[in-house]
This record gives sequence, structure tokens and C-alpha cells, in this order.
Amino acid sequence: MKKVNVTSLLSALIALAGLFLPWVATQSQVSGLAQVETASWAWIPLLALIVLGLIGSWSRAPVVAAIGLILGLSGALLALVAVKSALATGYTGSASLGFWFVFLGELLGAAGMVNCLTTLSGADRVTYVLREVVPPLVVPAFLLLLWQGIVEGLRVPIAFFPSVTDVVRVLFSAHAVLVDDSIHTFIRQMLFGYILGAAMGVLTGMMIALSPFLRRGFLPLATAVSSIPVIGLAPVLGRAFGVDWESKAAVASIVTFFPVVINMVQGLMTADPRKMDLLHSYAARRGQIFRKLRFPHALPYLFNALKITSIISLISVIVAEFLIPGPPEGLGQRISLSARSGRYDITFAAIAFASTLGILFYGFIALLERVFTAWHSSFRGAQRR
Amino acid sequence: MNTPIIAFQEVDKVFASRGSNHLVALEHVNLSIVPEEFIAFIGPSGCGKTTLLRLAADLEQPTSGRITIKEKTPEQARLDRDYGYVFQDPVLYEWRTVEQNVQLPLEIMGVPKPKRETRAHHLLGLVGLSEFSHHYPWQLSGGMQQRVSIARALSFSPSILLMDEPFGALDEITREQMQLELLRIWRNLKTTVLFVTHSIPEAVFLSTRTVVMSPRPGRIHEIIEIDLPQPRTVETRECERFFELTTVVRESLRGTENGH
Repeated sequence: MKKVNVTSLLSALIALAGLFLPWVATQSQVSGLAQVETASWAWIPLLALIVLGLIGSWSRAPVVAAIGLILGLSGALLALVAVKSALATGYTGSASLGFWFVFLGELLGAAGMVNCLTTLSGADRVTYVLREVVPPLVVPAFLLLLWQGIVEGLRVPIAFFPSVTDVVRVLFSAHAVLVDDSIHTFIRQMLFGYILGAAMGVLTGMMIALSPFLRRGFLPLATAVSSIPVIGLAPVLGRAFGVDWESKAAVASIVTFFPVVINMVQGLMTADPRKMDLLHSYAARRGQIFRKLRFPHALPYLFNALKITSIISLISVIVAEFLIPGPPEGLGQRISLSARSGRYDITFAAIAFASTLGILFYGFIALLERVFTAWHSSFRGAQRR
Repeated sequence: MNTPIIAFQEVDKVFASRGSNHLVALEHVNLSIVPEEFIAFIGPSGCGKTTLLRLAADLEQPTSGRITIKEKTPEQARLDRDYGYVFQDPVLYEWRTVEQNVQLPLEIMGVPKPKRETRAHHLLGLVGLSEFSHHYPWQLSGGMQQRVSIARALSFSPSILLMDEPFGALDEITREQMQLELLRIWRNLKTTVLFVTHSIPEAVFLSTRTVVMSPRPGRIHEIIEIDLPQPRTVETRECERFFELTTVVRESLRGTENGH
């Protein structure tokens, strides 16, 4: 017989104990789940889930692990719903030991199952999905559940830390405002500045690469300037370009410009000398050497800079909105205004928008990189000799 | 046909470095090569074989002496695209397919697209890579990559091929196969080949004359006539004269070590 899965056995036992411990407590009364009238409906399904988990701990089959994962997560969710409705019936304190035993026991069980899934071996499709696809999807859900459970169970106020559902509620109710903020921050400020900075950077990089004078005289300066934290200059830029979107776009274009220049020059100057000799032997002109060799060689360098600056410029624009407060629009303004008034649910929703935009934009640039430099060694993987 | 296609006259090449440590790469090099010859250069490392080739290609300038190629300066010969150069490594462009790599010199020379494509197709057939024309270089083995680089050097039909240890990185089996292919191409296209190598059997098997060079300073030590019958085949490597000639070259190379 196979070895018993200790983690899942232990977690099921912890959860089982939790069913018989008090779930909510007030000064006058201590009650187990069975006695909390409004939540007693959860007792039977929870018991069933836990017993199933106990049985499952004797097997290591992938299917059992997958089912155990679903059981664990739904058990934790069920416990959460139950305690929430119990707390809502007039108890003033936070959740008691019983809830925490069930909730954390179920999550621990689910985590154990994810661990089982990651160590599966086998090449068939189901095993592959369970091993490679499921864990990265489940772990965020797991963390969100843990977050929600802690905030609900401890009754943390919004002005201290919002729950997941608080944030989601704002995402739905205030999505129109957040979309407007995103358009303002992302398109008018960041994207405009980014494209301008990148285009200027590419052109400047080409000029520097073609001119020894600029390369010797200007490049060291550019390298030095690029290490200045430009965001510190935001107030100055605000004075120069006004408190509206122009100053933030200027910040974005400056933080994009210098890395693009430096990478572009590096890419243009480091082409293989033998490839250079080869073109020389065909009597290629300078412009041909540039088009056929230097520029394609520089593309991977350029995309590296574009990827890094896509994130840096978004962060810079948001921070610039803090530093140069203009009209109350934009994700950065939304973050600072809502935080100041204790509406952390709005703060988190705005951050969620900002990070989603950042990830999508980075992904877009990475996609362009794949299209334009698919030949580069970083995409060849095992194909390389 | 006794007018030389390439002539080195009293060629010296000194690489100046900081301080007084000048490196004399080549000294008093005199050599005349007539059309359709296959010249192999052999010698220990540092004897200036590669430098000799790079001088002919106008990739380096001689310190003194004179080089003429088809009665022109090397620079004019380069501008007239008289030679194709093959390096030890394939030096293919990673972002171009096999076919596009072969077309590169033709693009530089402004050959129209349909003509380029026909030419690339023909040459890939010649080196046996027709099926791989749409592959990228990294999808090919080392031997195949080197064949692409040879096809590229031949694409514009240069009358001279300068080859710097082109088969140096290949395994023995691929190398012998490539040698036969190269000889076939040489016979068919009637080019003149300058071929740098480290391998005695390779020099003897391929060349009509083998130039043995000595190091520090690089000089021509001896020029050995290789009178093996043409066309050379697999059997050539097994005939008695082949072994005699490899011994001659080997002894000559040994002579370079003891000074001259």
C-alpha cells in the first residue's frame, strides 16, 4: 500500500477539530458552529468535504489530488461564507478558533494537493495540464482566499486593509471612473511620453552610433544622466510643462529616452566584426552595412530597453501624479486621494487597474519582440546546437 | 595562361602595438598564382597564413611590398567583387533564412530579386541544401552551415575564392565529403582557390601547389608541387603518391621548426 499523505491527513484532522470548536465569540456566549443557528447549514457539507479529504489522503493518484484541491478550496470558501453570515447576525468580535481551524486546515490541505500536482511525472495531456497549468492558476486564487479570510475573520476595517470583495465591489461600481483614470494615465500621459521618448531614443542612438564625435562626447554624458533619478525632477518639470498631463508625459519620455539611447548604441556598435568583414568584402556601402547588419543586430538590445522602460515609465507617471497634483484625474491621483481619505478599497482597485495595464503593455512589447527578433537565441531554446 | 591572377611581391606586414613590440606577421613574401590553381597554405599557428589571405582581400593593408589581383590593387579587386571569402566559422546572419543568407551579396550588389532567387536556388542545389532553403541557420548542423557559407561566397561567381580554414571546425567524415564537393565546384566553375589549412592530408588532397609557411616572422618556407592526377576521388587518398607527398609536406613543416 502507498504511503499516507501526511499533510492532507493532518490538515483534514485540523479542519475536523475546528467543526467542534467555537466559531464566533462574544463576551456572554461561546458557541460552536452547530449552535450558531444562522450558520448551521454549513455543518453537514463541511463534514462531508473533510471526510472526503480524509479518505483522499490515502491515495496519491493525480485525479485524487485534483479533487482534493477542489475540496480544500471549496471547504475554505464555505467556511468563510458561514462565518461571515454568523458574524453578520450581531456578534461584535472577530471569528474564533473553530473557524480558523477549518479555514486554515482546508487551505493547508489544498496547498498539499498543489504540491502533489507539481511533482507529478508523466507526459500525457492530463498530467501535463495538472502539473504545468493548474498550479500557477490556483496559487493566486489560494492567496486571494487567504487574504479574504484573514480580513473577514479578523474584521479588519477598510481604512486599514480592504478585503478582496471590497476591492472587487469598487472595480464594478466605479469602473467608469477607473477606466477614465486609466485612459488619462496610460494613454494620454504614459503612452504618449513613452512613444515620444522611444522614438527620440532610437534616432539619437543611430546618430551617436554613426558619429564618433557624438559617441565620444555625448554618450558618457547620456550614461551619467541616465543614472539620475528623473522622478526627483518631477516638480521642476511640473513648473516647466504645467501641472496637467504634459509634465507627466515629459517624465515618461525622459525615463524612456536614456535607456533606449544607451541600448541602441550598444546594439549598433557590437555587430560581429567578421560579419562586418564579410560586408566589406562585398564592397557594401555604409548605409547597406547599417540596414543589413547593424540595425537587425541592435533589435534585441532595443527591445530589452523597451520592455524595461514600459514598466518604469508607467510607475514614473503614477509617482509624478503624486508629486505634481493637477486636475483630479488619473490612476496616481486616484490612489493618493483615496488613500488620504481612508478608502483603501478604491486605492487597491486603482492599483489593480495600473498593474493590469502594466502587465498587458509589457506583454504587448514582448509580443512585438517575438515577432521582430524570433531568430534571436533567447527564443530558440532547445533548438540551438 | 601564365599571367598571374594574384601576385605577392616582397610583401611585409608588421602589426604595430603600443611600445616597441612590433609583431612581424609576414616578411618577404613572394608568390605568383596563375588562374585555376588551387593553392593550399599550411604552417604552424602564427605563420601569417590568415594575414596573407586578409591582405589579398583588402581587409588589411601591407606594410610594404605590392599585391596585385588581376593586375589591379586589392582594393579595386574588392570593389569589383573579384573574390569570395569563406571564414573558419560560417558567419551566417541569424535573422536571415538559408536562402536569404545566400542572397546577401547579391542584394548588396543590387541584383534584382527574381535573379537573386534563381541564383540562390541553383547554388543551394550545388551544395545539396535545396530542401533547407527556408530554414534558419541555427536549425542546421555545423557542416550544413559551412556549405551555406560556401554557397554564399559563390553566389556572385567570383573568379577567386579565399578560404580561411573553412573545414577546420568539422568532423572528419563531413570534412572529407566537403573536400570532394569543393573540388567538384572548383572544376566546374574554374575558379582560383587560396585555401588556408592546418591539415597536411587536406592540403595535399585539395591543392595543385602547397605553400609551407614558417612562423615568427611569417615567411614562405617551401612551395611543393602536388602532382596528383585530376580529378581527385576517394581513391586518391589511398594511392602511394598521396602518402609520399604528405610525407614531403610533413618533413618540410618539421624543417620550419628548426629555423631555416
